[in-house]
Amino acid sequence: MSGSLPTPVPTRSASQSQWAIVRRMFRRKRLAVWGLRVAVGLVALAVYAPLIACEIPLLWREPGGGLESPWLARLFDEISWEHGVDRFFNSLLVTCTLGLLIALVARLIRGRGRAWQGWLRWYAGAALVLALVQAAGLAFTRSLPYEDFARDPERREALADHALVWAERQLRNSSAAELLAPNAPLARAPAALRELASRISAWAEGRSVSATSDPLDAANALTRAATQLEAAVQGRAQGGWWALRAPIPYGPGDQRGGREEQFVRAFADRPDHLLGTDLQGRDVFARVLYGTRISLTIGLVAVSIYVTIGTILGALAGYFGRKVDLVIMRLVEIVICVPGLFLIMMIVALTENRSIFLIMVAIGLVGWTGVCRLVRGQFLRERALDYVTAARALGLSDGRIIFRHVLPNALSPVLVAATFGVASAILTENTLAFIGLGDFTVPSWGRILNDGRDSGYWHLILPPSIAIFLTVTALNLVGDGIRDALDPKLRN
Amino acid sequence: MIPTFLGISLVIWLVMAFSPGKPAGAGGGGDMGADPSAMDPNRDESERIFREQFALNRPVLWNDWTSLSEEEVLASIQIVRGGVAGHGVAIFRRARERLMDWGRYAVPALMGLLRRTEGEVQTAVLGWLRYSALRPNAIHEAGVTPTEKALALDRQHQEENQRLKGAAMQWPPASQPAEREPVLARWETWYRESASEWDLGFAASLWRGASDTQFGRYWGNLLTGDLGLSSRERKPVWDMIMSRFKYSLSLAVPSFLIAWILAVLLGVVSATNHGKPLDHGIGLGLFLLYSIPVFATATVLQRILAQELKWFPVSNFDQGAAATQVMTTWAHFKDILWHITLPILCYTYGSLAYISRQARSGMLEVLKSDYVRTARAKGLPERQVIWRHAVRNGMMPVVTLLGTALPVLLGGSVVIEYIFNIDGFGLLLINSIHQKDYNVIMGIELIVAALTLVGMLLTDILYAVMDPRISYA
Repeated sequence: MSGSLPTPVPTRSASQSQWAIVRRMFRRKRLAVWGLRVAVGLVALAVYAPLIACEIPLLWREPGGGLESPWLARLFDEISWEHGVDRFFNSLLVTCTLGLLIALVARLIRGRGRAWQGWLRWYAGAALVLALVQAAGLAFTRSLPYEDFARDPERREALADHALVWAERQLRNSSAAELLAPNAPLARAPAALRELASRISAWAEGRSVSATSDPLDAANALTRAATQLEAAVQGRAQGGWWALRAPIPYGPGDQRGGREEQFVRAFADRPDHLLGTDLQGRDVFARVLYGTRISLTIGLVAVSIYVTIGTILGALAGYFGRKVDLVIMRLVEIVICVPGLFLIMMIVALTENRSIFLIMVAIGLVGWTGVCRLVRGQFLRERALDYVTAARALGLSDGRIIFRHVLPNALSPVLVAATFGVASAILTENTLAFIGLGDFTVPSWGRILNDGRDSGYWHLILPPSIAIFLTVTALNLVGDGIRDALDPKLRN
Repeated sequence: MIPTFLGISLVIWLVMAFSPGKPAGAGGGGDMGADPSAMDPNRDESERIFREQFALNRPVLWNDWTSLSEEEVLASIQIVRGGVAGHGVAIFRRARERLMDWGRYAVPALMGLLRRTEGEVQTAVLGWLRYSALRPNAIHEAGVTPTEKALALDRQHQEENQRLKGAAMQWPPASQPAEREPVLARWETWYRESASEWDLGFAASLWRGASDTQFGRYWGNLLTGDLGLSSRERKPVWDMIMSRFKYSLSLAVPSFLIAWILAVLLGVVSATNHGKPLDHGIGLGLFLLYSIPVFATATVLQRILAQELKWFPVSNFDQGAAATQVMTTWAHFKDILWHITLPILCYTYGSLAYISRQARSGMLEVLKSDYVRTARAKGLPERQVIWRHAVRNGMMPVVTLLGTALPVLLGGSVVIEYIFNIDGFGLLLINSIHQKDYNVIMGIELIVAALTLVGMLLTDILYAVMDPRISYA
C-alpha cells in the first residue's frame, strides 16, 4: 500500500497524521510486520477453511445433469455446519470474497479512484454489520444435540432429517469407483439406515407417545432414505459421475456423538488423512484448521466484550473522578483479586454449560480490569488538558466530551492491550479445553492436545501446539510492534 | 483489605446465585413425576449437600415462606396435578420445584387446604403434605462419630418420618369423606404436637426471613468460617483444601524462587548489553517462551523426558503412601525431588517469561538513571555499580509483581497439577468440577481470593521495606 500513498514530500511535516506515523513506525519493525502477516494469514485460513478442508464436494456433475456446487448450496446449512461459529465464518467467506473482488475491480479502474474508495468503505462497513447481525442470529439458533434424542420429538425428527442429509452427503462424496467397490460404505449404508429405523420403532413400541410426536415418522423417513440410497447407488454407479473436492476431503467433525456416531462409524474407513485421525477417527488437519476459527472467535469476541466494559468504566472513573472513581476502582480491585482462570472455571462449573459462547462471555466479564485501569489513567491525564476545559466551556454534555473528544485520544494504549488480550484469551480458552472444561462440540486446539497427552500420539500433540504457538506469537509480535510504534519516545 | 474480601465474596456469591442454569435447584432435576408419594427428599444426596450449605432451594434475598398463602400452594398443586400436558414443561417444572423447595414451610398452608378441600384435590394435598413434612436425613462427616445429641435428633427425625410415612397417615385411594376423617384427625394431632415449629413470633419470622435465604446463609457460613462438607468425600472442605496445599506449595515456592533468580540474572545481562545481539537474543527467546503455553511445553516435555527417555517419572508427587512409608526421610525427600523436578521445570518456565520481562524493563529504567551514571562517574567497578546500586532499585517492579503474579501462578499450578497428576488444590478444583462437588469449588474460590489478598498485602509491606521513601504511616 505504501506505493499508493499520494504524499510526494517525504519530510516529516506536521501534516502527517498520527496514524500515518504509527503505520510507518510499525513497518520498521520487521518481526512485527511478519507477525501481522501471519495473523492475517490465520484469519484468511479461518475464513477460507471450507475451501481447504471440507467433506462436501466443491463442484460435481451428475451423469445427465449440469454442473452444480453442493458446497455452495450447503454453506449456511444448519445440518452440514452444526456450529454457529462455522456458519458465521462461512458468511464471512462470502462477504470477504465479494469484498476482495470489489477491491480488485476498484484497483483495476483506479483512474476514477476516489469515488470508489468511499464506496468501498461503505461496502466494508455494511459487510461487517451484516456479518455481525448474522453472527448474532446464527449463534443462538439451536444446533442438534443427540443426548435428548429419546425425550424430544422435534429432535427425533431432526435426526431423521439429518440421516437423510447424511446419506445424501455420502452419496455425493463418493466417486463411481467407490460406489462400485463390493464392500463400499455406501453399499452398507442402506442396511445401517434400516437398522436405525428398526431401533427407533422398537424404542417407540415400548412407550406411549402421543400421535403428534410419532417416532415412527422418523423410522419411516429413515427407511425411505435407505430405499432412495439404494436406488441412487444403482443409478450413480452406472453413469460417469464427476466431483471436485477440497484438498482435504474431511470436515472437522465427521464423527459426532450419540447415535449418529455409531451410524457413521460403520462407514468411516476413508484412508487419506494428512495428519492422521484423532481418537474418534476425525481428521486432525481439518480439526486444527477449523480450530483457528474457534480460537479467533474466542479471542475477538471475548476481547471486544471486555474492552467495551473496561473502556466505559475506565472513562467514567477517569472523567468524573472522586466517588465514581473510588467505586469503580474498588470494583477493579475486587475482580483482580480472584484469579481469572479460577473465576472462569467457577462460572463454567456452576452453569454446567460448556458452550463456547459462555466461555467468551466469562473471559470478557473477568478480563476488563486491565483496560479499565489503562483508560482511567489516560482520562485522568486528558481531563486536565485545555481542550477538555474548552469543550466544557462550550457547554457540551459530559457524554459528548467523553465519547467524542477524550475517548479517541485515550484509545491507543487500549489497542495494544487488546492485541495482547486476544492472544491471552486464546490461551485461556485452550487451557480450559485442555483441562477438560471446554466446549466439547468444537474442535479446540487445547482439546486435541489433551487427547494427545492422554494417548501419547505425536500427531495429536505437535499440530495443535504449533498452531497455538504461531497464533499467540504472531499476535504478541503485532502487539509489541503497535506498542513501540505508538511510543513517542522511540520516534527519532 | 477486609472490605475488599467482602467485595470478592459478594462477587462470588453473585456468580453463584445468578448464574443461569443453576445446577442444584430443587431435587431430581430431570425427573418429571407429578406424584409426591414417589419422591424422596433424601435422593441426590450430593446435590443436597450443596443446596443446604448455600440454601440454594431458598429465596435469594428475603424468605417470606413463613406466611405462604393457601391459594399460592393450591395453585402450584393444581398445576402439578395437570401434568406436563396441562401447562407445558416449563410451568409444570417450576411449580413442582416450588412445592419441593418449600418443604416444611408449606405445612401450615397445606393443613389449611387439607381441611378445606375434598375429593381428588384433597388427596393431592395430602400427598404433598406428607412429602413436605418429611425431614431429610442428616449428613454426617465421614469417619467421625456424630455426637450423642446429633444422633438423638436423628433418631427423633427418623421416628417422625416413619410415623408420617405410615399407613395410618393416609387414606385408601378413592375413599369417602367418612373414611378420611380419622386420618385427618391424626394429621391434626401431629400438627398440634409440633405447633411450635410453625407458630413463629414476629421476631422469629423476621429472623427466618433474613437468615434462611441464599444471601443470609452464604454470609453466615462465611462469617463462621464454615465451608461445608465435600459431597464426594463427606469431609470438611477446609481440611481437604489445607491438606492439598503442601503439594501445591512445594511446586510453587521453589519454582517461583528459581524463576525469580533467573529473571534477575537475565534482566541484568539483558539490560547491561542493551541493544547488543545478546540482549536481542534473550529478548526474543523470552518472547517465544512467553508465547508457548505451559500446557503445550509440559505435554511435550513429559512425552520426551518422562515417557521416551524415562529420566523422570511421568506423574505423581511421590511413589505413593505404600512405598514411601518404608523410606527414610532422606530417601523420601529424594523421591519427591525426583518426581517434582519436571513439574517444577515446567512451572518455572511458565513464570520465568512473565517475570523476566518485568525484570528487564525495570533494570533498563534504573540503568538510565542519574545515580547509576554518578556511580560510574566516580569510578566504581561495573560489577559493583550493577549489583550494589542498580539491582536493588531495578527489582522494584518484580516485587510489585509478587502480588499480581500470585493469581497467575495459582492458575499455572492448576494446569501443571493436572498434567503431572499432583494432588494439589488445582487438581482438586478440576476434579471437583467434574464431580460436581460444589462446596469444594466455592471453598477453593474463596481461599484463593483470600490468598491473593494476602499476597497483595505482602507486596505492600515488601515495598515499604525495600523503598524507604514509601511509608504507610
